[in-house]
Amino acid sequence: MASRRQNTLHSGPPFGLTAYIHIHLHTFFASLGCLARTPFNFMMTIGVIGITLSLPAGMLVAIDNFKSISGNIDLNHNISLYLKHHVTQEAAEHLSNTLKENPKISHVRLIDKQQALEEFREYSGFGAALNTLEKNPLPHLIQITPTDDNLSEEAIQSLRDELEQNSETQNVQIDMAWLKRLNALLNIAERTVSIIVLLLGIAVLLIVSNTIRLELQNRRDEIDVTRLVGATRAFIRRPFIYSGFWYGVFGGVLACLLVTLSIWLIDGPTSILSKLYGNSFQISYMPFLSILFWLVFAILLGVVGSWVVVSRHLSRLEQ
Amino acid sequence: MLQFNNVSKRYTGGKDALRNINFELGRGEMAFLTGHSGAGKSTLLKLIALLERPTQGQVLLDNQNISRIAKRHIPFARRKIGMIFQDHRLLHDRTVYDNVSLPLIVAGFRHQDISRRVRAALDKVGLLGKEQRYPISLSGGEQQRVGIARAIVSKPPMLLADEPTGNLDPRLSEEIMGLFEQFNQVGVTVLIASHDISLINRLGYRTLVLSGGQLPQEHDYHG
Repeated sequence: MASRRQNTLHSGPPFGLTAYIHIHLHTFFASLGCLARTPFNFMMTIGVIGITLSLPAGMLVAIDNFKSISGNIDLNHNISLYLKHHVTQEAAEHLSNTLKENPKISHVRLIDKQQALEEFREYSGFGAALNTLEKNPLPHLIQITPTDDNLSEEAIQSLRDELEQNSETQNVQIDMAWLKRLNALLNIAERTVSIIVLLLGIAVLLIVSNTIRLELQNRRDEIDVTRLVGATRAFIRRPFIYSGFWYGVFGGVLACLLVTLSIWLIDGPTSILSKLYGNSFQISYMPFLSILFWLVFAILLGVVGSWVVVSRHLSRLEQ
Repeated sequence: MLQFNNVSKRYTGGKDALRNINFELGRGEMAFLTGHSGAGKSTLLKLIALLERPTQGQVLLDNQNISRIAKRHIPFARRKIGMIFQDHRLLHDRTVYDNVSLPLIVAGFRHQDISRRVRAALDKVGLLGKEQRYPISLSGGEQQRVGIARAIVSKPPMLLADEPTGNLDPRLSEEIMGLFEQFNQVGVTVLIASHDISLINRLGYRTLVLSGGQLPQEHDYHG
């Protein structure tokens, strides 16, 4: 032991992985403790990050849900052929039989006026009102499914032209048109959300940077003293990086919770609406992968934001 | 241990803080650095602590030219020096234990070692049992001793003290100087900047007197 004092230069700390892991673990929990000492500030920052990230995260979930609605709808490229009012039951049946002979058509289904009225009465809830009508206001409808080799847009268009030539035809409607429009709209929405993700991501980066900047100011003495006792740049930077990490973790978790809570609130009314449409649509919550994505994204923003600010600060100190 | 070779420091703006300083401090030596305010004491200490770089000349610490080392090596050079300040520079939101253990944590010591060494350092300065106190609840003399415990806890080969007794009454000053003498007796090189001429004279160690950024004379009270 006596030689230890003489040997001061060589009685250094343990080097290597153990020391490294030890320092990291220490800072990991110390930084959390440090944040917990100012719970109000911590909560405020996390609140801002969480709400900011919950916006794009929520929008993406909404888009996914709309997509699944449109995906649920049978993409069988049906063509609806509405017949003119004066067309009789017999004429409609005749026409539908003729269409069955058409080589471009694989399947034909006639929904006559009476059948349509019954269906409408059942699902619309206007049963009593419909009873007061003297005449059935609905036309005959023939649903046509083209054969598989006639599913291209051009083929369906030409089939539509052909059907419109028919003198009994009132209107030809291609069911997938509105679906395409919906999908196009959803694509626009998705692109918009990507831009929003980018902008709000930058916002979170700035929030974290600013918070860490204030923390650096508050802990200026500590940084000075730590430098004087021989702390490396990495050592001084570490607790702030971990602060950023924790902001990311808690901000990300809060964002996911907010989105999940919102979906839960919307879930009830949605399933009622879905039942009214006779649809079994179930709103979907955030999938595991997207939760993971938002967590990683938030952590990344927290770490990068603090890294930039602390590195800048330390570079200034060292000049 | 410490060697200044033709060291000059000129701050931007043209003021010469130090001019052509030459001196050497042997391993295990104890010396005082004195001089009027503005004579360059602080600058000289800052050069040793690597808070400033010399404009000219060499500063050798433990045979290493620290005036030219890379930035990333500075922290490791600083670990060879225990620094003590007039205003203690303690962290007031941390306990005595946490303050003293800081250099060990920075250097990556293990918990068991830290605990053992902190207790040993506090024992040496007579503060054992006050680990969990906060600096604010201690007297000025006790706070300074916490600062000293922090400086010696990692057993650096050199101690550097900037006006360590500046705010203390003569009796406490004497106690603090007594501590420095104890460390010096076990081989630590000690350099103390001080105004307290009477105390310096009484103790009778080698004294470097700075004047106008120069080191014209050296009093050797050892005879």
